[in-house]
Amino acid sequence: MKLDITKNIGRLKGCMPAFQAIVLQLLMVTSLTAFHGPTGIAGDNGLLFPEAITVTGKVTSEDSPEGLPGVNVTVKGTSLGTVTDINGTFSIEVPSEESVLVFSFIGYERQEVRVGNQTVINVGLLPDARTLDEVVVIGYGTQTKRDLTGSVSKLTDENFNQSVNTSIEQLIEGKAAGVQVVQNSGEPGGGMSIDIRGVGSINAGSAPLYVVDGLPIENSVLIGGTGNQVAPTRSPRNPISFLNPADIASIEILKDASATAIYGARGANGVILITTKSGASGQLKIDYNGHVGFNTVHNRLGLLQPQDYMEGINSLIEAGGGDPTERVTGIQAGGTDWQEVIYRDQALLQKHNLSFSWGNNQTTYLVAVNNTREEGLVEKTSFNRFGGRFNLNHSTDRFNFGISATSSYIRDIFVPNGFDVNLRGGAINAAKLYDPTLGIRDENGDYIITEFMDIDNPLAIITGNHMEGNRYRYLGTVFAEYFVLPSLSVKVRAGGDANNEDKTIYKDRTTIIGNSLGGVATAYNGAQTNYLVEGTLNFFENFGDHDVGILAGATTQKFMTRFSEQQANNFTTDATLANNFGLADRSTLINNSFKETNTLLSYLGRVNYKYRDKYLLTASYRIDGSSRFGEGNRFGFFPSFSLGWLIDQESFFPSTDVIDMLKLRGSWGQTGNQEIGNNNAIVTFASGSRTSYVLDDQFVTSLNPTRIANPDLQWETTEQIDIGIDFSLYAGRISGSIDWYQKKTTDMLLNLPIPRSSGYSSRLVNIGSMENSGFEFALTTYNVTGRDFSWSSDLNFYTLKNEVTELGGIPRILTGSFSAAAGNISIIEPGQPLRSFYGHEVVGIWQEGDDFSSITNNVSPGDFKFRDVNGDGTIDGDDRVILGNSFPDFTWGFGNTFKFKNLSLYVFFRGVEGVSMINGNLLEQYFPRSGVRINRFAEPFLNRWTPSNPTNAEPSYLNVDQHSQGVNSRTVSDASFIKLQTVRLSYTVPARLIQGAFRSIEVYATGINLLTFSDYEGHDPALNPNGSANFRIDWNGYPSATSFLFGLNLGF
Amino acid sequence: MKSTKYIIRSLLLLSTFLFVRCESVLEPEIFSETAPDNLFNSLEGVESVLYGAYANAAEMGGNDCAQQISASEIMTDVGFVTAGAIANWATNFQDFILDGVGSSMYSVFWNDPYQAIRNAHILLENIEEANISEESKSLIRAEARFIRALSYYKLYIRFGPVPLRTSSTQELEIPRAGEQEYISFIETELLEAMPNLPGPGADKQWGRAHKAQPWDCLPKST
Repeated sequence: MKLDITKNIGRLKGCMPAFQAIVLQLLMVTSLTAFHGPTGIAGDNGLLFPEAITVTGKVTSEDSPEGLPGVNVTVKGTSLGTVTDINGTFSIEVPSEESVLVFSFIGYERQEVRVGNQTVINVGLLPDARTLDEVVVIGYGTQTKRDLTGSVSKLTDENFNQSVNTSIEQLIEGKAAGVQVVQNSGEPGGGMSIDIRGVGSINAGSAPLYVVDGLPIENSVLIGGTGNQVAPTRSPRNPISFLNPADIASIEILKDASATAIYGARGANGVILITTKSGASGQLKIDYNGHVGFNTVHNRLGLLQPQDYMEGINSLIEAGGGDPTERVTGIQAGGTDWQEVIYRDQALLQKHNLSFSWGNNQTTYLVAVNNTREEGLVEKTSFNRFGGRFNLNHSTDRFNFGISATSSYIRDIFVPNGFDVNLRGGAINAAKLYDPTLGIRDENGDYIITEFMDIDNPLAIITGNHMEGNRYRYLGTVFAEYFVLPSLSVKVRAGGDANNEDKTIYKDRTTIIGNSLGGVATAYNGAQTNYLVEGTLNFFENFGDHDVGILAGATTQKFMTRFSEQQANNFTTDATLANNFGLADRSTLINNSFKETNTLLSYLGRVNYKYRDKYLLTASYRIDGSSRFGEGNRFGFFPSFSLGWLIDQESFFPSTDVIDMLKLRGSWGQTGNQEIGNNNAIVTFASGSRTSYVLDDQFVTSLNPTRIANPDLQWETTEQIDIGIDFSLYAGRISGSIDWYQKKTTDMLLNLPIPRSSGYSSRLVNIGSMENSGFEFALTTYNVTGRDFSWSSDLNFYTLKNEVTELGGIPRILTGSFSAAAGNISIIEPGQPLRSFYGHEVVGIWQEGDDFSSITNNVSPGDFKFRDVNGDGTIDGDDRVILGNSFPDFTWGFGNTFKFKNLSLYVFFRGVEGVSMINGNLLEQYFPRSGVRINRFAEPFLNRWTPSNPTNAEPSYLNVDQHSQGVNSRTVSDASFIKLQTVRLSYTVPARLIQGAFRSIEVYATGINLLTFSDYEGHDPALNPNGSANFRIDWNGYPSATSFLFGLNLGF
Repeated sequence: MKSTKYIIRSLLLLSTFLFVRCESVLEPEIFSETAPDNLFNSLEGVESVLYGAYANAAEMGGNDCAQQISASEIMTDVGFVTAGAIANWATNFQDFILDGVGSSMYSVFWNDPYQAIRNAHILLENIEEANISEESKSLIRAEARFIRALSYYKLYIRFGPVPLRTSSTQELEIPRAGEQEYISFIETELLEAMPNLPGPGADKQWGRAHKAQPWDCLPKST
């Protein structure tokens, strides 16, 4: 029954590599199933009581026909084993004929051979299909890793981050060179942003395109509003949370132009291809994956204790910083640690995935259900997802067919938090600023409210605001492929994505605003749908030395968004919350709705050519038409071209055992960005910011023109060149790649500031250019590969340099703001990185005896001393300089896996160097919007300047008029860090101990976000509450969590 | 032969699936925003743009009202600013540091009047084709001219003669107007708008312009 595999390899040699891999794997599977019969004991020789058998043999490979030393030969399911000697020979004693010998060696495919009645077993090992013939998904097709000429990072189950896993960005954080993943909020299901190879645009989006099983999805936030009188958030919860990370088989990240140009006007920011799991053929397999655990706040803010607060604030007031009536008179009931009040000590989380897979040679099925729920760090917040999936794959010689469908329901519970102050500020803002000398409730049980600040009791904000939402998402794709000829196929794909969301917010009468307005309610409702139809022709043929592949097709996608909101105040009762607007005061009712659509129509084509398995060429072309662009420019043209050279295949290249593959590749291409919203090319009218005007004691509706039309509006073009080397050494033991890239975006979609005397602040035009460049380096090594102990490492690091090169003649644009700071905080200027922080340089603190006449500003000892850059004797807007930027100079991730017998330990560090973030919490304390009684960071405040402590590092906190110099070198802080991101210890129960219905059992314990080494003062330097990856403002951020999980993976 | 039949068959199959459409598919569909061709078909539509002009000229929404009066109050010792949001935008004025940075008051002082002027131009340039009565046209024309003059008057008080924009199609960068030209423009506009405005008390809605208002501005501007 034994198949001589090596003989069959020779027959297949003439075939194409892809088929070879598939047939080999089929042979492997059939040979395995032939040997694993249902009855083990009753073998050919009929023995009932096994006795030890000595088996000898020789292991060879194509490259080492004389013998392969160091190959592990083990008896499956036991701890018996040996290693081949220098000649490749081995000798081992096996307990019975049923024993299966396993031959494994790094870089080669494992082989299993049942002993049976043989005493001599010779095996020929084949190079591991995994590393060289591994298939990578690219746009509209697949390619083997070896033949790839573009820059693509592939991540699978093995590489994915072991994490809480509410969304897929968590899987790839820190794992792929050039791909920046930044957490925006520590909320459960919180937002994350991804920038691939920098930022290419000022006003059009910089998020990559997500494609799920061939369907490009709409990944924008549908309901970002937070309700009337509630702080708006710049980091809404992550829309892609509907997709269960456990359903994902692989993620391919397309980075360079050659890989992304096939996505045309949506490819400029990179493309993330997500492929979901398919069933496995064979008997029904049931898998359960689950974990439970808890989150705690990674790092709380170091605020003043009640005693220090009382002494400190009173001394500020005595020095003239406040009114004597504002003095702190005592500490109630020992005071309150408000952070303790709003945060849960342990926020519980759990995840359960159950999947069923079965099938036969032709068709496989996968059904999976999941539930992921997470309590948030702030009391009351939570995230709860229920989801299901059905995947079907049918494949025969002439016909392929597949369905991939998922639906999910997410229930979100929120607490107000975001970029606002005072009564509209959220729970975290309140806890940070609130008076620590107060108790929580008074004798009557009512919330204690400070009389010195316009801020609500932090606990009242949590219990008095009822914010919740529901998200329903259905996503499905269907494809059918018919092989007209073995080399020519027609493929048709259709997909749809429907997203429905609703959100209600109610402020009841236990909050200050709720009390004064009689309850404030807001209700949002929205739907976002899109459908896709596409057809492609695929041709692949081998003509002797030439391999040619051609793809041609057309695709169209239509998007629709519908949104409505209503608000009302003064309800008869708080009991119905926002569920009955009929009980509100009719005169306060405001209603609003809108609908918009956009369409894409595209034609695409690609040619892949390989000559003698050595020289590779890929060329692609895409024509994209979008309804977003002006009439004159509806269609965009996006070509790309790349070459690859497999140097190791050259005759002049010394044949060595060291290098298995050395490939040099280069690419050039153009991609586009059309993320500018709809209707921006034409004039339309909309209710302006002053929606209601009063005439004759009645509200009347007013309309204002929204823009100056630009019929020439078109997409942004990003031209990218990439040069890379892919290598694989020592039979795959060391593999990796090095890339250098340069991206230039021209015709940037820019809200060009125009003279305000036109009545408009800007006009959307295509003007200006920006450049991103850097190096990327990725390395995977198998350092030790013993039978009992192995150690492998994964390293990636990359650099990024961003520069605005041209602004269409404008010298600079000042932009970016948040209400704690005065004016604009950043600058866009040719020659500098985008949105560099722009403010004043602190040279020290004014001391007694200094010459105060040197500047005209009103300063005293203890105030910040700024550099008078232009030497005119006044510190004002003209003395601003660039203080830093949000683009990291250097980012790295380093993971190690140690395996000892059945135990496995994984440790992952990551870090970022050379990045700045404006510390809004610190700025707010130097220049309070809420009065002198706000709480402060303990360390800087206790070390503040006083006549007896004339430090040069911290000001006296008395001069709040320096607020216009709030953006300065003290508040713009270095946010570089090194993090111990993950530690995971797992134990796989050995096969011999598994009985009954179980197929496999694994238990694990994981710690996430354990340690951070950084100088930054705040929750977490890696967290950017400003909702993007590369413009960092830390203010009222929802803190990140340290998590501990205990999990179980079971197979039935 | 068989293969060519298959090829033809598959291409037909493919083309039906692709349903190659023409560019008209890419025309933007406008659902919630109004466009000039549909808005000016009714009196309500035209009036909504007029109300937009009034709203901008009034400078009342949100904090705009406070910002409008702050400068004159705090720079004349009538008011004094210490803390809160208002301290952010008013302190510089209080200290007579007229720094361009960090005060949203400039936005109210400069942008709001020009936005009113913008709306006035849209009305004046499109009202001929509007589907409304001649009487309405003449009234709205007069109101638009008055709002424009009032806005330029406010700008004059704050900044002196400023760029004089008189149509939507002028180029974006224009220089400041000379003082005489500026004042005589305001004067002409007010005098020509006056006859077509209703008498005090006869205005369509309380709050809209009537004859007395231009009289109010005229002496101050000359």
